[in-house]
Amino acid sequence: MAPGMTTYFGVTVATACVCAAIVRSGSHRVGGRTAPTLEQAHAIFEASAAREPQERRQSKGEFPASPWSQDDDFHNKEAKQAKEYANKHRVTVGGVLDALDTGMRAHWETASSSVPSPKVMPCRPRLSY
Amino acid sequence: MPTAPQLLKLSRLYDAARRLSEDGPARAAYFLLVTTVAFWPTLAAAHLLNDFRDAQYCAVFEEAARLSVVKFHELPLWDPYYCGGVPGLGTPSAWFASPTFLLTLLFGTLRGDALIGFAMTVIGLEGTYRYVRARGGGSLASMTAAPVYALSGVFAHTGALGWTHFYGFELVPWALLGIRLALGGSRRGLVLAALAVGWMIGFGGTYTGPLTALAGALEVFFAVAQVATDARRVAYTLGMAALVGLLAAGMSVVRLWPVAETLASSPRIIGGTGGLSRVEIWRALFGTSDNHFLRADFLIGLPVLPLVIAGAFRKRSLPVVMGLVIWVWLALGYKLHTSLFALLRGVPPYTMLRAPERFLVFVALVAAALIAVGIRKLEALGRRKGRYLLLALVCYALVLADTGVLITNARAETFARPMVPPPPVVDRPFHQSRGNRWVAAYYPFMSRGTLSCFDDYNVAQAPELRGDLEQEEYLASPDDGTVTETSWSPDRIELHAELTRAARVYVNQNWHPGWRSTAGVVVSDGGLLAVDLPAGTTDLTLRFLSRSALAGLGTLGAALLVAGVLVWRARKGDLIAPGREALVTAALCASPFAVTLLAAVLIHEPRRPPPPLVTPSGEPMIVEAPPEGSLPVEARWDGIVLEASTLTVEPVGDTTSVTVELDWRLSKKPPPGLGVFVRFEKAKDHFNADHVLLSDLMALEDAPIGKTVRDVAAVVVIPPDKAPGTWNVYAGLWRARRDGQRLRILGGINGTVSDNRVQVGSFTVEP
Repeated sequence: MAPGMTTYFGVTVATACVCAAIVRSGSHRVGGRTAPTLEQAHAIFEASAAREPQERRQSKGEFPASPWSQDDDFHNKEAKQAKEYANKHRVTVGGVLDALDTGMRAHWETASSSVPSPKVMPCRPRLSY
Repeated sequence: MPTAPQLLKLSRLYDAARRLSEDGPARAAYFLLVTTVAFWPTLAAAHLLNDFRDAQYCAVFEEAARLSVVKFHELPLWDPYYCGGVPGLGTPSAWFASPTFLLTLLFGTLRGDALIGFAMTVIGLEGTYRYVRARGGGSLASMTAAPVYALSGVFAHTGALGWTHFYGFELVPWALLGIRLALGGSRRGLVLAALAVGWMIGFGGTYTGPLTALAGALEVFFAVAQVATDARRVAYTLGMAALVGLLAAGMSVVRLWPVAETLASSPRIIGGTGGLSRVEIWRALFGTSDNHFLRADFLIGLPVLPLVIAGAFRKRSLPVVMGLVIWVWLALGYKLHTSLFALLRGVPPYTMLRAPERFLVFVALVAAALIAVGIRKLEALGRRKGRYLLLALVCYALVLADTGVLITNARAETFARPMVPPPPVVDRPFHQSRGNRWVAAYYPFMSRGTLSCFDDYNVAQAPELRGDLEQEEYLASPDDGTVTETSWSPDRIELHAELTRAARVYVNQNWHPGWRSTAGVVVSDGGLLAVDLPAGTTDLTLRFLSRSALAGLGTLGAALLVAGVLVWRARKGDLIAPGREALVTAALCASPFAVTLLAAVLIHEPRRPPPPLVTPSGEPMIVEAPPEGSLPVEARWDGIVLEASTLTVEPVGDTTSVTVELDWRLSKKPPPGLGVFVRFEKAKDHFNADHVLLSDLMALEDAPIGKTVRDVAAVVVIPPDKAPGTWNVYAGLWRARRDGQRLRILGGINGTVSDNRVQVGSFTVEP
C-alpha cells in the first residue's frame, strides 16, 4: 500500500471507529418504568418508616462497636428494599428513593407513628472490609 | 521449512505491516479497532448505571461537577451532593479535573463514563507503543505489544467496579516516555512528562501519582547509572529530573493541595491488604485453569509469557527486568520477610497506600517492553536467516492471540457488571436528603444530596446535618427572625435575613475554610456551616472559594503557559544546553509557584480548628493519671503502657451498652500505623471493637509522650440475642495499617492471656 493510501486508510478506519463508539454509546434508550404514584409513595414511606426501628436493631447486632457501620448497614437494607419494591411494582428506583425523601421532608403521617431518623452518622469507615 | 520465494513473500508482508505500524493514522486505526471491539459491550450499556456500590458513589462526583458547569455555570469547586458537602477538587476519587471532563459535558455522566474508558484506552495504547519504542522495541512489535499494558486486566477490572480514576494509569507510559526524553535534555519530553503527570493527578485516585513517581525515579536511577562516570552528566540528568518534578508539581497543585487539605483534616485510617503470595501473583497476572487463563484482575495473558521470558534475556532489557523484580517484590507486600513495601510505607505519601498488589499494574508495562525488545532481536536475526523471521511471525501470532485473551477478559468484566436503568432526572430546588450511599448516584440526578456516604477516610461531616428540612438555611429559634434563600448554586448561596437580634444562620452543609460571606462572620458550628449576623435586615452571599483551589488553578494556568513557551522554544532546538539555558528553563519551571506563593500570602483563610481533645463524654482526653476507680492493667509493649481500663456497663431497654476506656502512656514515639484491638468474648460468641484513633481523635503515634491518654471508644451495644452470660474483654496493639500482626506484649498485672493480648475487664449480663 502506498504511504498516502496508508494514511488515508488509517484516518478512515479511525474516524469510523470513533463514530461507531459515539453512536453505539447513545443508541439505546430505557423506558417502561415510571415514578411511583402518590398513593404508592405514601405506602413506600409508611412501610419503610415501620421497618426502620427493627432494621436498625438488626444492624446494631451486626456491628455492635461501630455506630457508622450500624447506620451504613441499615442503609444497605433500605437500598435493597427500595430496589425490591421498584422491581416488584415496575417503578423506578429513583422514584422509590424520592418517596422516602419526600415523606421525610413533608413529615407524612404513618399508621405506625414511626418517624425515620433525619440524621446520619458521620462517615467513619471500618479498618477493613 | 518454507522455500526461499515463500520467505521473500513473508518478508514483504512483514515490511508492509511494519510500515503500517509506523504510520500514525494507520496505527491509530489499529488501536481504535482493538479498543472498539473490547469496549463494544461497554458502549452498548453506556446509558445504564453501574449498581456496584463504589460505582454509585464515584459517579456522584462526576455528576456533581457536571451539574455545577452545565446547570449552574460555575466551576465545580464545592460538591454539596455528597456527605453534606465536600470540596470538589479535594475529593481524591473525583476525576473531573481532566480533559476527559469534556466528554462528560458533551454526553452526560453515564455515557461519558464509557467514552472516557474508551478514550483513555486508546491514549494508553499509543503511549505504550511510544514508550516501548523508546525502550528499544521495533515499531510493529511495539504496536502489537501495546495492548498487553493498555488492555491489561487492571483496567477491565477497575473499570467494571466503577473506579474510572484508575484509567489514569493509562497515562503512565506517556509520563515515563516524557521523563526518559527529558533526562536526555528534551524540552518536549519535559512538557510531555509534566502534562501526563498533571493529567493523571487531576484524574484522581491516591495510587496513580505516587506509583508513577516511583516508576519515574527508577527511570532516573537507570539514566544516572548510564552516565555515572561523568559527574557533570550526572548533575545534568538529576537537574533535568528536578525540572520534570517542578513542572509536574506546578500542573498538579490544583489537586494536590486540596486533596492534602482533605486528608489532613480527615485521616485515611482504613486498613490494607497484606500483599499477594507468589501463587496469587501468578493467578493475578495469568488467571487459572478454572477460568481457562482468560480472567484475572491484573491479567497479562498466558500466550505472551514465553516472549516475556525470552525478552528478559537481552542485555538491553536489564533495567526493565530490574524494574520487574521491584514491582513484583512490592506486590508481595508483607508476604516476604524482607518487605520492600514495608520499607516504602515509611516514606510519605506512600504511608497511605494499603494495597501492595496494585504495583502489578507496572508488570504489564514491563511485559510489553520485554515482548517488543525480544521480537526485535528475532527481526534483526531474520534479516540474515529466514527461519528467525518465521519465528518472529510466530511471536506475533502469540501476541495477537494474547490481545484476544485481553479483549475476552475486558468483555467478560463488562458483562459481569450489575447494570440498572439510569436515574430519573428531576430538576427542582436542591435539598439535602438523608440519602443512601449504596444508591448514591441517584441523588444528584434528582437535585438531592445524600448525607449517608462512604469514603475510605473519615469525612469531615457535621453530625447535625438533616435530611428533612423544608429550607436548607434556618435560624436556631423562630424568635430570631427569618432567613430566606434567594438564590442557590453549589458554590454560591444568596440569603435575605431579617433578624430581631444578632443570631446565627445555619446552612445545612458542612463547613470548610473556603466558605466566605459578604456579611457577618462565617463559623463552624460543630462542623456545620453557619454565619453570625447582626440584628436587622441583611442580604448576603455565601461563596465557596478555597485558597487551595484558587492557588491551584492559578498555578496550573501558569504551568500550562510555561509548557507552551517550552514547546515554542523547542521549535528552534529541543535540547536544553547545560549552563545558562538550563538555568533559564529551571526558572521558567519554577515560576508557576510564584502564583502559589502569592495566593498563599494574599488569600486569607481560617485554619480548620483542631478538634477539642476530649472524650465522647466531654472530659479531658490528655491527663496526668488514669481516672480514679479504673482497673490497673500495666500491660507493657515497647515504649507503650496500657495503664488502666474501665468498663461501664448499662442496660438500655432490652440491650446492654458497654463503654470501654483504655488509658495509654507512651515513653517514646511508637512506630506509625498501629491500631488498638478490643475483643469481646463469651463462650463461642465474640465481636471486635478495633480502632486506630484514640477516642476517635488521635492516632497512637501522635499521642503526647509521658501523659495518660484516655481512649474511650464508641458505645458498644450488645443486642439481646447475644447478651446473657459473662463477657471477657481483651485488648492489645496491632499493626493495623501495616502487616496486620499483633505487637508483642511484654507483660502486665493481669498477665498476657494469649496471642499478645491482655484482659481489660469482664462483665456479666443476666438473662
